[in-house]
Amino acid sequence: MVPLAVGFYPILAAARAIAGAEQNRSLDVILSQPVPRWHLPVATFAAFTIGLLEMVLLFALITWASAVAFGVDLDLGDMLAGSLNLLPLSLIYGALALIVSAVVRQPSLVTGIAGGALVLGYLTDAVGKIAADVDWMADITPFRFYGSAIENGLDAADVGVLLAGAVLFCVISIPVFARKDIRA
Amino acid sequence: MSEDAIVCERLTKRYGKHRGIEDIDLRVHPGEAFGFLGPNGAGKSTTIRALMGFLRPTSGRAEVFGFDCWRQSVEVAKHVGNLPGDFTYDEQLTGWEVVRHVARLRRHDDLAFARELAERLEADMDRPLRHLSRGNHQKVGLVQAMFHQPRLLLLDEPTGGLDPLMRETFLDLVAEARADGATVFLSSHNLEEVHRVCERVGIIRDARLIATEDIGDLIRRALRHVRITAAAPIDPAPFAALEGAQDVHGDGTTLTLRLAGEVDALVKLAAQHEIVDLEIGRASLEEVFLSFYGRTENHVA
Repeated sequence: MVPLAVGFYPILAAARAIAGAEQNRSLDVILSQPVPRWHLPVATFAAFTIGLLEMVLLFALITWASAVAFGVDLDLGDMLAGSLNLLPLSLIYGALALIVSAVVRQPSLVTGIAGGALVLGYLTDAVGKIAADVDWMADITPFRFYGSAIENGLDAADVGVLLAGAVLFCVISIPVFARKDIRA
Repeated sequence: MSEDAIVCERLTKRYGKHRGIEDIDLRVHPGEAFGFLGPNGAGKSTTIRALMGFLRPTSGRAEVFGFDCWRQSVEVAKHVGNLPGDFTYDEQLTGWEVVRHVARLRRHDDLAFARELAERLEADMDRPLRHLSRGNHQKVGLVQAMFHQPRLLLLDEPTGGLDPLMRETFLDLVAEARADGATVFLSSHNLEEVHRVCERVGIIRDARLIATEDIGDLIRRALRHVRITAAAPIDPAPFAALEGAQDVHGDGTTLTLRLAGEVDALVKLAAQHEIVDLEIGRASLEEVFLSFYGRTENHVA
């Protein structure tokens, strides 16, 4: 469930920063300044990446400290790898929320669509892993590239695919947002 | 590049069920104060949003100081102070935080004029926006639009929520900006306010710019409500014969009428009586439309 909880953070951040700002009209003030439109999705992507990094590092340290306090043998390096592994997967869905934000203007709709994709991906992956006759389902979502880093360490190739996907989504959101009518 | 501050050529924006604007042709010269009059929903805000590059024109084009409003919106924004209708921003921030944020985005470090504006408008700049009245929101909006002393001020219904005293201060500030060479584009549905600031007005109704007028001409030809109270009974007939007189009612010593056009003849006629009281009230914008442009309605539709 942790990927679900963490994955919602960048979705909410993207919904608030773009669709939310359009809906509450603070986007009018921002775009009245000499700021190129591409700054908005890119800055939002940067902001939720930093926020996620802080979140997963804090999560790793608290979990590790709690484990140590209760005498559980947990390697800090493994714990950090497991937590950092949440980052690329969450970024994919955050960047998807950027694209949706560049199209619709209701933050709840952004959260619904991108959050729905996250939940659907999680469930599809879980079903595929449990039921052998539909095991292909585990291969069709971004969760395919979310291994068990806490046991096996970070897989550079998987992380690379997810990060590339997140960057691609962010890049796609730029022209989509640039063409958007910012309505009153 | 165009020398004009604002140029719209057949500017059209349609979206969904909303009408937007149709074929707006407009030129505002540098240093001019141009009033943009029309009822709510007529297309005033849509025009301003197209000028700011928020909306992509369906057809036609708009330029500000020679820069295309859609393709070169960053260049446009450098020269424009924009006050959106019903200004609002992150409600957690105080007025000063909003202004500092805008200043950072503009790379404009000097807040001296912002302080002067805030002081003169008596703006409450230290409390979060969520605790501010509509009038105080608007003051913060005016400070953020004007503090960088832009070449063009785009003001969408700027005095909404301001008390009469602050309205005067605002009108003084706009006059001073103009004296410093700024161009002003003021959208309003308040004829009096536009009269105070602007030399020319564009009148927009049902998405179309139906006229551009010298404000003096508009006021002279606009409908007025007249009420004359005389010391002795007053004959309505000569008043009904006046050019532009409508709905003339005489009730003993009191006479009421509506007058479209010059007041000179009316005053001279009234002066033949011993006048106890004379009231001449300005018509509302809606009435101006009805009296002055009602006849063009068939051409517009």
